Amino acid sequence: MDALSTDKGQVPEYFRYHQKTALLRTFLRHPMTRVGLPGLLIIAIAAVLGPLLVPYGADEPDLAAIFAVPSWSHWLGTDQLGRDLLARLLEGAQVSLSVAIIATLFATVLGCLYGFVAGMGPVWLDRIMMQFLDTLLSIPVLLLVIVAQAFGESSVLKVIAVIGLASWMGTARLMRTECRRLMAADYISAALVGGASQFRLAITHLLPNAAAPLLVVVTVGVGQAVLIESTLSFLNLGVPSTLPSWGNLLGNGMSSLLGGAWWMVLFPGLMIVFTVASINLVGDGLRDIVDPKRRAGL
Amino acid sequence: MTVKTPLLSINELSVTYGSGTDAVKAVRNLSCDIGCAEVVGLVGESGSGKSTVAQAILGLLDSDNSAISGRIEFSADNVLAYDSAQWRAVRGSRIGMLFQSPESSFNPVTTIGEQMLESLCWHKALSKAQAKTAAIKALSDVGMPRPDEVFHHYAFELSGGMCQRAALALAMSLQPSLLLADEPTASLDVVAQAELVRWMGRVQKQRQLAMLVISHDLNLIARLADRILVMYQGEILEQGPTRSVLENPQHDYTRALINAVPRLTKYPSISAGESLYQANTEEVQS
Amino acid sequence: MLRYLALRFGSAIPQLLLISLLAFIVMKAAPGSPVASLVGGREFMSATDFERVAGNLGLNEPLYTQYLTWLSNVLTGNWGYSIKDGRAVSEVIWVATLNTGLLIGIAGTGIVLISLLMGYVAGRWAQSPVDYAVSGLAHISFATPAFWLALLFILLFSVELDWLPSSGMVTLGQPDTWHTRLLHLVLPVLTIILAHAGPYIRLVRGSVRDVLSSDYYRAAVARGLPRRILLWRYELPNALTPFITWCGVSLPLLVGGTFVVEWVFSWPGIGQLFLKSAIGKNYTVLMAAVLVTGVMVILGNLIADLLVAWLNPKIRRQYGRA
Repeated sequence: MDALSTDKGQVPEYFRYHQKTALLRTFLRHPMTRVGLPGLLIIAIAAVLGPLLVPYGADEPDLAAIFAVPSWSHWLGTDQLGRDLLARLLEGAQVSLSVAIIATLFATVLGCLYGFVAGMGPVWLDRIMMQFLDTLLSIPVLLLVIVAQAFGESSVLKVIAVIGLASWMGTARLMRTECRRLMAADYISAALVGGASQFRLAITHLLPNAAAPLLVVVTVGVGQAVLIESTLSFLNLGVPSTLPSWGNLLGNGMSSLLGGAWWMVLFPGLMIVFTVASINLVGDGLRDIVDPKRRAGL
Repeated sequence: MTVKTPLLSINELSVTYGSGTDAVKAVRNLSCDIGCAEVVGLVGESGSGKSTVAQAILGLLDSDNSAISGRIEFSADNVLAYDSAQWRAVRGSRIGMLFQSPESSFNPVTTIGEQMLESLCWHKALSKAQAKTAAIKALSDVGMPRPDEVFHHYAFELSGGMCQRAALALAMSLQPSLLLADEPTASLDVVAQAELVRWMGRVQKQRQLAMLVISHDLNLIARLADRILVMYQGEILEQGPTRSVLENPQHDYTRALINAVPRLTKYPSISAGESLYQANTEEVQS
Repeated sequence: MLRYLALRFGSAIPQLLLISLLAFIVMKAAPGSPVASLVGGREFMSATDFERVAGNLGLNEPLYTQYLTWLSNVLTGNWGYSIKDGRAVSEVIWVATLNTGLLIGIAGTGIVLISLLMGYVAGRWAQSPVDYAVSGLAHISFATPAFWLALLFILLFSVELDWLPSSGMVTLGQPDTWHTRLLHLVLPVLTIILAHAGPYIRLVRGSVRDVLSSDYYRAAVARGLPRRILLWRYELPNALTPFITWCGVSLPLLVGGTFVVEWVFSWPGIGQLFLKSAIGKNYTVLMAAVLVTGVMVILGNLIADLLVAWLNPKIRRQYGRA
């Protein structure tokens, strides 16, 4: 029968999708990615090159142009000290994005370690660790973060640490599931029976298997971290207020709100929405490739 | 078998999935008739387009993603021109269907009885009490032990074989004249398969039911079908009465299918098709 | 069912303990000795007096004894006094909890209704223009910080148009009628709904699509059942279970978002209290706010879980009908 099906020489559609180049092509062609990836590129280029292109410095006050409405000389207007909002936004992109990315990487390392221990360890340990995880997940993240920030002075490193500590749970759960699934797989059992070391097997097989779903979690995690950072900074509990992170800019905008300086509120928020939406779209695109059964939208 | 005016008549049916360069022709120029009380078996390996035929007959194909050409006539009515109200009147009450996975073809949040009631009340305009009597009778008609208990069960509480018989009862309670069975035994163990086939045969004889049995399992087809169609990559390769197709296959592919059936025989001299036919007809008659 | 209830309550106990531990740590980690804050500064008393007061307050006991004493105090409603104004914490917290409950209750109902409706429409007619519009909005909502939306609304509806009040529950110096209270609710509620509905809509859309592509749904269509039955007996009950689960799981997110919205609109709820005490380092109130929020979320989770169990015939059967 197999001979017959190759006779007519038709390779089923789904076989083609397993080739790497095709996978990349599907990813790039995915409607979500088509919107999200260019958005992400724009943000990245703006963050890196932007400060060089704007003729104003982020901390350059101009007392002659306080609360200037957006115009040709100040595209996005100025703040209460006459600082150019566009320059501050682009400088802020560097602050906000690097905080979010470093915090997410920290959370990923933490989550992988926790998940690995729970997934490879004895069942009783797994139970305890997962129960602890569930409990943590039932507490609002923001609550933990704010409590942590209520103690001591604020610094960039502390914000990164706190955001990282508040967002490793998803990765931990994923890693633990991957470990359990891997250890239950037939080819691993066969290798174990053959006398291979459990630890070495896990190291060599786990990463290739877990890399793809991990990438999705990390991508979406960066977006969430941007949101948490902006919230904290907005509440004056985040990055020191001397740094122009997006949240700080919004917090600053709130105090000028009743004066009607709408540009100070509108533009930093748009930046956040645009960034997070682009990241989420790319994450969705990735998820659809990694797990084609779950179609677009969730 | 007497073939009168055909109950179902398929003429030059083609189904294409997708469009442009991705288009896949699942069914090509398929024609066949099914008479009243006739059982036709549609055989082929997975991916050969068998299920698409059944879905086309009931209008279940997603019209956004597939294109149908040709004619399908049921009782001399072109069903491809039906609107949704006409479809509702035909589906279930005149053409019934059995699916491959019995447990997942029942709603997981309601009992089997409730699902029988909702169909009976809708199609037959019965009162709740009348419908319940009819449902329990339908369950006992397919040999369900303790039908009034099964009535209150959820699908996940029954074994696969019991579930499929409940699905058969549900389909038959609406008294269709044609039953489409899409791989009805594929997910059952051998004992449950034999049981199901026995009851399908019995019900078919009692009700003078026409059936289109779709399967890759030649044992099932040999036991039930009067006529066999062999399908490969969307096309009919050969067709004819069950006995002649099995004992004297004309096509290499059919021969390969028959030889692929595992059998317990002490007489290697008898050809594979012959033994398949004899083994299965004997069992039904006994 | 009773047995399941008991089982589920049992698993909530470690969660409650962890929350109480967290609150206790907030208390203990607060800088400055409670004795000092009691008498207004360490310099006002001798070292021996200080020790005596500390002993009377139980501060020389081992930590776990202190924790147990504190826990029994909390359980009997003795929550201490606010450092700021000396009011009983339990009283302050209670009023704030009611206010927050009102806000979350209304906004939560709105989110449930809107996401069920829009998610259903998007899932039923997937890949249609309506779906693209709804899904696009859901995506934007998912990426929008609630506090920013709040600021925009204030700018538009309060500063520019002057239609709606931007802060508090009542207008100072005006009679407190249900009408003004309603007006004060509009912007906070709208903000919470619009900033949070996104993931809910996407979830409903996904589970509706799952139902529509399921075997049992196809079988029901093949049985010629009318739309009415398909909708009420197949689509909704099956899409509802993952939705309720998600409502429970996402409760911490919703509560967190509400806190910030309360802050922007000066809504006198537990979130504002929480943030004020965190920024003003008012640790007794902060401790109480942590405790109340944690308990609220855990209880919400519990309710969602019980609802799901009640809707799921497998669990219902396993634990009997009682």
